[in-house]
Amino acid sequence: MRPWARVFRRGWVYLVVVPLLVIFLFPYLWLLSGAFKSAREVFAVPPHLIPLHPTLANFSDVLQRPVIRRFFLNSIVITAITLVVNLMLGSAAAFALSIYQFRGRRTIVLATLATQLFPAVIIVIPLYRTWGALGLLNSLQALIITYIAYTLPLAVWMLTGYMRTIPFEIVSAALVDGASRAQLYWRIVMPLALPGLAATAVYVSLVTWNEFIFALTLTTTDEVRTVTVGLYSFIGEFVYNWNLLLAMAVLMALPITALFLCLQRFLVQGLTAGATKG
Amino acid sequence: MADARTRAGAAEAPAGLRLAALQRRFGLAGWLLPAYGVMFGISAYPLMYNLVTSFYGEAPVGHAPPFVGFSNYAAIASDPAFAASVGHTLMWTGGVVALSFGIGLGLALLLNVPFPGVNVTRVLFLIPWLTPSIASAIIWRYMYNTDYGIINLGLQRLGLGFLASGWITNPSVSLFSAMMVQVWRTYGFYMIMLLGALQAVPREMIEAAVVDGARSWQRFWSVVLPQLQPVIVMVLLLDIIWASNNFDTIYVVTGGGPLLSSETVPLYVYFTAFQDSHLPQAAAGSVMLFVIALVLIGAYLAALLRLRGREEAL
Amino acid sequence: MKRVRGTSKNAIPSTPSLTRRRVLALAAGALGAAAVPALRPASTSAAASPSKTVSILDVPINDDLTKQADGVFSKYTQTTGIQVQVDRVPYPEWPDKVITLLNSGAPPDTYWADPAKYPEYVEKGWLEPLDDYIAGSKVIKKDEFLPTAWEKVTYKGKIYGLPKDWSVRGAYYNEDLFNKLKITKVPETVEELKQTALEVKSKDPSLFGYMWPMKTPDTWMFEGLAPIMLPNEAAVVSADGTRSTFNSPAMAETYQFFVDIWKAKAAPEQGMASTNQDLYPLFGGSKVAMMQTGFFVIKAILPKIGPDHYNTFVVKGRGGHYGTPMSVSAFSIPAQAKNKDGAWALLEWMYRPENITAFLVNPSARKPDAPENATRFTDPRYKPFFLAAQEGGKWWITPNPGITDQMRIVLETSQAIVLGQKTIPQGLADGAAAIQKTLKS
Repeated sequence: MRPWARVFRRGWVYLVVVPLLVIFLFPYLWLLSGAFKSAREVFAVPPHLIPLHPTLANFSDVLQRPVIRRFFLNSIVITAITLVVNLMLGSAAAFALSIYQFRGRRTIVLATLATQLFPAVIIVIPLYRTWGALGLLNSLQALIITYIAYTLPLAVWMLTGYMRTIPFEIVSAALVDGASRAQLYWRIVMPLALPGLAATAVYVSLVTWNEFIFALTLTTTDEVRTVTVGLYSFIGEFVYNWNLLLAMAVLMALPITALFLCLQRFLVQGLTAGATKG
Repeated sequence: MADARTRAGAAEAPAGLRLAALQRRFGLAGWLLPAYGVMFGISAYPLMYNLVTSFYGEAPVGHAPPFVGFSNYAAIASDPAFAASVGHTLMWTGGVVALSFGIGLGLALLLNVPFPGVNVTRVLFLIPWLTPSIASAIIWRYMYNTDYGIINLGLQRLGLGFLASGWITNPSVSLFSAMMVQVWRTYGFYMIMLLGALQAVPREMIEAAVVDGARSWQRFWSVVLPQLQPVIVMVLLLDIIWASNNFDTIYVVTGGGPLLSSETVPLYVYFTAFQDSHLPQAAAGSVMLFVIALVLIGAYLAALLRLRGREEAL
Repeated sequence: MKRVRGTSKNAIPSTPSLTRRRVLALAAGALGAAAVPALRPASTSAAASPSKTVSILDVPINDDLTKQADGVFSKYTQTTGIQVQVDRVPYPEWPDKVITLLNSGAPPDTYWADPAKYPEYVEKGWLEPLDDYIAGSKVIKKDEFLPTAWEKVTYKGKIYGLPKDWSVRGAYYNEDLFNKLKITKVPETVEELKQTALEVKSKDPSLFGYMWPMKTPDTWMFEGLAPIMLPNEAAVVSADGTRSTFNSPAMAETYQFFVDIWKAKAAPEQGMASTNQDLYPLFGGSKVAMMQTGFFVIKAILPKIGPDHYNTFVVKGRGGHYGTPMSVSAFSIPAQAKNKDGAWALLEWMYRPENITAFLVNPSARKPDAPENATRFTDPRYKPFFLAAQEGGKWWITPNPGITDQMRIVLETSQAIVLGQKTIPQGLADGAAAIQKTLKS
């Protein structure tokens, strides 16, 4: 192929991707620019995209607060545990639901969604009572278990969907080879479902990281609060620290972005092994 | 016990197979119980609480609330604001799901191509999805500002001033403006889910199609799309539920909009509970929201059944 | 082309091997996961016996005051040995969390309250009367506080909150803009305020003359409508709380004020979807010549966002009187609190003159010569606010259990009128009827 054509074939993607990126990220650019502005400049009307006097002061201000550092620690712990437990329990349940047939399977699948049909804001009052009765208010346990319960339906639902794309030939071939259920799970289904697992991990960690209502209502002290509560703390009745709030939003995005970059590798894994024979 | 989907090989159910079926069922329970135990354990009380509360009235602390049957439901159903909010919810759900899906699918296809920098690009496109809702809403309100926002200013500079509008101050446009924010926040979900599914399409199938002489459009339609189908069904269903339940975005961007023009059912329920403090009525409203979501799902599944046949629906 | 079938179409006869092991493994895993959090040191919730802890829900004002408040609480612990559990709720979430906690049967022992909600909450039985505590107290002396402050926390003859501070509304104007536009007279009446706003617009169409927030019932009522309605001596509900007086000539005149300014585009349209906080930058950026808000902005907000030269004033209404909405904030004790005596003891500590400043940004509810007030409001720009308050800061709606419904009706009516969807007579008539319905119950 001639060099021109080769460059164009490779390059067309960039021609499309870069403008799209600019359009989609345009609002976020404003967020970024606000994070680098001083308090006076962030309120300027009309606003400028490029800060006239860019500053890192917002970031250092936010990071120097001990409570904020505590919030990050709490959020990381909560998200990590929720994610791991979610993937374990969720993939097991999805495995059963997607590979096997049994009576009541479809009912269970539909019932999984039933818990999703209420916005969190409505559940919060009885949930507060529940944890109060158990004496677990203002604890990381309560938050973690709540988040697991809150995100499991999604995890199960998503993983079921992904596992159902696994071609039946592969599964039956393994069974013909005498695989037990556990072997089927670990050796065949899970590896093939890795992109689905990665996508589900992305979703679960994002929801848990950014969750607000439960984090605020079920906690009373800064010891157990999360980054989202910290974000809201920059809005006061008498002060409206937009520049600090935006800086905090940028900081909050960093751990979750790092996680996404890591999971990238699994998302791109195509099927290279386990194909049907013949 | 046999239905159309039964396994290869179990035509009838002799005693041995029935025992196996029993063992099978309990065996599988071990896989399902931990997850469902947690799910229903935590959500059972709140859901029951809401349901029960909706049938009682209000009473001061220390007095038993009176049983009022369906009168909370009647009060809500006869409130014109509620009917309006249902309409807004339907418009909102349809618009958000359709647009997010379209954009997400397009981006997933685009970013399925392995070009240098594709990994970073994928994460960049996900950034709107990662942003906490309050931060997105602040920025979008900033952009939507009627007098000084960048959208109107930009439109005027481009000579398209007639398109400038009171994005969140004009009742006719406020729901649409909130929808745009939500689409911006949600397309990332579709993108990542569909990308995961696209990546799982076995390469052999695509290569076989190329060998068969299929063009890219045919390849997409006949090979890739069927492979994606379970995932598409799954994400659409999830997003229909989430969109109809969405509260954060609309609340912060428009607060229900001037003259309740962007008030959806979740906001209606929230205001009933937290602004007017009519908690039993809010509980009734949330049950009705549940029913509405069920109806939406039912319609979705029915359409799916008709399109694809029973076996593939779930 | 043959479509490859997914797994759903075919089910697998399962072999019963390893199921027990799998179940055990999963159970162990789940238990382990649940146990790990339990192994971490528990947080300080309810670890001590009930009388040794007291819980308070507060809203942080700014970083300095939060530090001072923490100092007050830790000194209390040092002196009495009682742990103070402080729940600092971000301001936007404060009303929601209060409702959630009061509803839950397990509220904090004391919380920062909004007295406008007292009628509603008292009818629900959520609040504890404080008269006995006050009568027997050696620290809280009733006559040290402003009478209007007690008035604002009293419902049906009983006191339900300890007044903390008060605030009223007054007007600000941008001196530089006035000079630039050659406006020499500072408005003294509502009518002059309107004319000046229109004048600003006509002299410079790129500017706005006046602005108001219209996003939520609270912000509209308090920051937008009441500062014009009260000087005009209009009222939503009668003084005895039984009739709706929404449809009155004075109220019609009040709405005419807003309609005229809106029609002339002398107010930013963005106000329709904004709270006052969203709008302050417009005043700071010299885009709007005048606004009405509380006097805390003088110290808390305007130094950060500008403008460089501004001054304050208050306007009289048609009857020649000032009128301004007065809000009092207070600490209340929920009826279902577990440690009410402990809560009162903590409040007595907090309200000592040397401690109360950690919780104040506005003047305290004690009389102006109280130690915490004496030195803090010396800037001459505070004067008009004190003047208006002296003439009688008023309730924006006579307290009654239906107040939140009424404020919502007022907001919707106002939006409809200003947006031109209803004429003033029509809007007021509809609104009055709806409000009357809320009063009947």
